[in-house]
Amino acid sequence: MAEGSGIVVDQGRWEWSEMWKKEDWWAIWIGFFILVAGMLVYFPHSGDMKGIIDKAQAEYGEAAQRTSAIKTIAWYKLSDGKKKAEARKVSTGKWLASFTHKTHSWSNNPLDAFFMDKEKVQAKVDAAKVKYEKKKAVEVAAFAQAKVAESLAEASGFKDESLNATATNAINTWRDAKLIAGNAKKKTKAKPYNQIFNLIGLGIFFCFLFGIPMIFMGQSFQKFAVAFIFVYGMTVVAWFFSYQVTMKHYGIGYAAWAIFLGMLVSNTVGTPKWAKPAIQTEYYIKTGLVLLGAKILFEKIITIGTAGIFVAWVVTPTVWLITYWFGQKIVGMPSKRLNAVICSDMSVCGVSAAIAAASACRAKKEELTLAVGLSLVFTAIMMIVMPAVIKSTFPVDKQMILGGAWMGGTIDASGAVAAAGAFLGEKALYVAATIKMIQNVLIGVIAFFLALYFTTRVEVEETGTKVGFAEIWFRFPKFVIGFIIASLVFSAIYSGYNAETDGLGRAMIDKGAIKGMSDLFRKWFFTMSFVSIGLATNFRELKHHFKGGKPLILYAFGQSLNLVLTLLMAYIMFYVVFPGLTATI
Amino acid sequence: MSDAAMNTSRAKAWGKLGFYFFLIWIFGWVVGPYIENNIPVYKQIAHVVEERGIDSAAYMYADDVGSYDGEYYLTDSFKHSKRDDYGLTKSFFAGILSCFFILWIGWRYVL
Repeated sequence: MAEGSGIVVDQGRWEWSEMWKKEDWWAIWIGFFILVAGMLVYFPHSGDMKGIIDKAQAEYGEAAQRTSAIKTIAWYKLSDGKKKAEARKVSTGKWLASFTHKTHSWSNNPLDAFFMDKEKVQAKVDAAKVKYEKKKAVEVAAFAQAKVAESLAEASGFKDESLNATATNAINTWRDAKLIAGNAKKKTKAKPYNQIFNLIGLGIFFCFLFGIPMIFMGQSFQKFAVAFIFVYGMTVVAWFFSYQVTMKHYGIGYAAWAIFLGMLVSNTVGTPKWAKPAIQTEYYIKTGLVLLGAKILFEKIITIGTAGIFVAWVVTPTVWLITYWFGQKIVGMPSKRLNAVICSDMSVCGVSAAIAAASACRAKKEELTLAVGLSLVFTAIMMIVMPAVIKSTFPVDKQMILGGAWMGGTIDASGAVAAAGAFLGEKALYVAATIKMIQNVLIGVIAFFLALYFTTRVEVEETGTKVGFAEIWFRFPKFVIGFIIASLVFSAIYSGYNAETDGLGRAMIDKGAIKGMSDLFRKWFFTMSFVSIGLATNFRELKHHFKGGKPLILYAFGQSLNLVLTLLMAYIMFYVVFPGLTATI
Repeated sequence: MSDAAMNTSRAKAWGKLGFYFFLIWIFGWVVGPYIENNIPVYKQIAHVVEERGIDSAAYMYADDVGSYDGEYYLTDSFKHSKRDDYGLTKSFFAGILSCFFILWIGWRYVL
């Protein structure tokens, strides 16, 4: 592998030894190791999870089915009962969550990020209890009203539309109050913590996890281990800042902090030479991406129905292609890779799409940094502006679904989508977050498409030689294969569990192997890669890529197009083509 | 470069780093909260984020609990309605195929 001018280009012929000598393959092995560990930890508990779901079904199933005119209280209780089935709640899952926990949330005292004693926790719990009791009282009152309204609707056989509407509103109010009370309750269960030893233990584990393969790749383990202390330390600092309460409100997350802190160090005091063996951006990113593949579950794309599919899967590639064309032909982007990465992060789903695209097309680190930076800035702006615009200009009856779909299809980051959606209301949050989730599934399609395009066309143009199948295979970024295999295997298992018992896939995969294993590690790996990017990024080179403001023009054009097309498609699909389906949401 | 010049340059570099951390502090504890408290929309969003326990800095759907709840809510809602235009319908496949068709058009004529 040659790393000329920052672009990683493979040259030569395929050899089997690559499977233990190249980071692409090691990313796959490490990713698979974690995923298999997740299966071994959680899959033996499928019987227990099935028991919880069956119990909820036995308790509320019949009552939930007594009408399809409205979603009754029993329907919601059935849904809540099923949600209690979470494989990650087994004791090993709880230990894993605690061991891999990042720093804790804090506001004024930085030490709260690492430890909190009994006394302080007790004070917090006492304050939280007062708030919880108030919210619980609101919930109880709302529940009583919902029951009365439902009884009246039921008395008319659920055939009186006005009574049905009143009942639905009362039930929705109860659900809102329940959600808020539920979150308040969580705060009353705070426990003392000391994260320092876990953080040290986790650092040692990561050091071996990534360090041992370095020996096979011909590097020194010792040098890597020493350097890793620095990279891991910076990673912890990035988490520390991202959990500060103001930063959380602004949606300034771990990726932003990791890149920013890395760049601060490298462009002021400089990155120490001894730290360089652990600055392995691609190695960490690709491992994280293989883990990401496991949660790209194809069954999820059915979730929001046909209307959602058109909003997420038709608009996104259209915007991607038009923006890419605009970037090459009109703006004159100097780098096809930068163009592709910006198009992906703007049209698909921000940071995660940017890193998948950058790895698939072998973009430079600075190009990824620039694309991520643009995405973060626009996300922060859109998170505030879009809900305000929707609230002030959309008809009231369309704010939730149309507004939610519009935000879900255009705001880059999932967290910002959820925050903006929640600002409008529960339904807007659900629609927005689900549209975003379906878009997330497109990451795999786009990454594969890009890997193929850059391997068979762009690199051929760059090298001036035609390539055969063997050469295409040799150059193809192998981690994409790991990503796709993980996605296919987990999609199959997810659907298999759901076929056995409705909701078991969620309990075992979503809330088991993914949330309870791969996610715990993936975020760390992405943060380490972003720290590495920051540490290897030079402000001057970044400035060079930003010359003439071309990336900004490209992003602004693409996002404007995205806003127009998404709104149009969402309106047509949700209100013209499938209004009946929309009414059931 | 002489030792004295090198020391000055190192001190400047550390000074710059310290200054940038000071700016972060200013944002986190002075400017950020001020904006939050004085722009009504932002204040409401911050309130919603806290009240509902949303991780507004999440980058992937699985990082945020709202996505799972949303997915479950919508799936169960559609199933509950027992409509025949939900699920693996012809229109649904048309949506999926459109995506690949658009990419093919792009591959053939745009890229």
